[in-house]
Amino acid sequence: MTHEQAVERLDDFASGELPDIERVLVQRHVDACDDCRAEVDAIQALLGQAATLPRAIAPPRDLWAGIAPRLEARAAPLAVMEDDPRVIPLAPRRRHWQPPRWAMQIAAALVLVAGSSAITARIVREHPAQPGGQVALNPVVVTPRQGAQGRTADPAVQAPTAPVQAPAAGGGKAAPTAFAAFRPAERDYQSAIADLQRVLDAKRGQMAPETAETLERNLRIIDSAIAESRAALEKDPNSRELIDMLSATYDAKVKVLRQAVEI
Amino acid sequence: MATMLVENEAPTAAVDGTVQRAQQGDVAAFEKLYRDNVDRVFALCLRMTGDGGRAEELTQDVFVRAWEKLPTFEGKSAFSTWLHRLAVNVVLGSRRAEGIRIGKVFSTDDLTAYETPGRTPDPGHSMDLERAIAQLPPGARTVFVLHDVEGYKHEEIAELHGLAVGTCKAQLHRARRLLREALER
Repeated sequence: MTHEQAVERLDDFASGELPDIERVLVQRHVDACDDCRAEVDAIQALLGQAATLPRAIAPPRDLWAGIAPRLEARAAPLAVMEDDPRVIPLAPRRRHWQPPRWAMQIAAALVLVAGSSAITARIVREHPAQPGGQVALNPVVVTPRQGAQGRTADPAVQAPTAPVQAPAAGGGKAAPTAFAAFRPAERDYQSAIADLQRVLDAKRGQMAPETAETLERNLRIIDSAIAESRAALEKDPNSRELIDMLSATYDAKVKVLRQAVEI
Repeated sequence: MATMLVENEAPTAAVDGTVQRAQQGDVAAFEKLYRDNVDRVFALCLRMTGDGGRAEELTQDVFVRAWEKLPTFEGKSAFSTWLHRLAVNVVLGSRRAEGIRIGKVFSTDDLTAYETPGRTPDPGHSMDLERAIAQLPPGARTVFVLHDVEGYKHEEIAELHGLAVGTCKAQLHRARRLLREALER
């Protein structure tokens, strides 16, 4: 192998990327050539330094707050959202929450639960609301303060009953914030939702594809609304209105899941 | 050569169902995936751009894109592998879209973005290398980061970048030469 041929291969040689035959030939040249040996040593020293670089570097600030409000781009389009020019995937980077968005998202979720979805219509038609504490199939949203009145036949999927400790309208200070006070109830909601989703997952195979698709689309809308409310509360953790919106949206999700489980 | 970032990852997200829940629209599960992976994604974006602010924007874009694409994730690879490849695509795509902006000069006096509480103390060499990488021309920087830091092969980089393998090798040679010169100063 000539010196020029070896020089052309030194990068691959130093990286260990040459086929065996070429590697042997270059090695033979490097052993006899001071310039090439120095070159290989220098490249390998650089690679050694590169190997010590950390694979993970924490960003200087939490970036989630700028991500969560943009996740609705994955939700199914609703008329109320389609007119919003900001709902564009990878749109100009909007770092700050903008009030109209959550209002529209939550409104969309509640409208959805209140009767626009095919699932709701079907369930209401096929399973009229039953007295006596059975599953509440009417589309009325139950607020946390009302408590979860209905229970499914499966005790594992009961709705949350923890009281919400939202701050009094004009009263004393919440300790520490209304959002923090809501967290125990939120955990109950999430636990109930997880239970319902487990039951639903077990039944998913029995569901008609179009029903499953509609259900998933609706849940995504509600999840986007929840994400919006939570992001807004991160910025304004004492907003009673936002707490109410968030709890109503969780109620909406529990209701949709309950209805789906009953299909 | 550095081993690829994703090889050391334990596939816990797939095992505990976090990915599946996120695929079903569970934002809390997706937030967990974000928390578990953001530092790796940010490191990649930071090194590929050499710009802390831009890296933050791109990291957010990566996770928004991941949310959108998550239903297509089939679990054939680790989630972090999938996410890493997605991140590379997002950064390269933004570069193509921005065109001339890639020539933006990195402020070499500001290396705070590379500092992280979990980073082990070093004698200064790795920070010198970070600074030198940030000063590389964009094409050379991208190839060096992907090949010598992240462990991609030339063929993979060529495919991701839309380059010929020979061009990729030439960029790597250029990057290594420039880095050595910078570190010897």
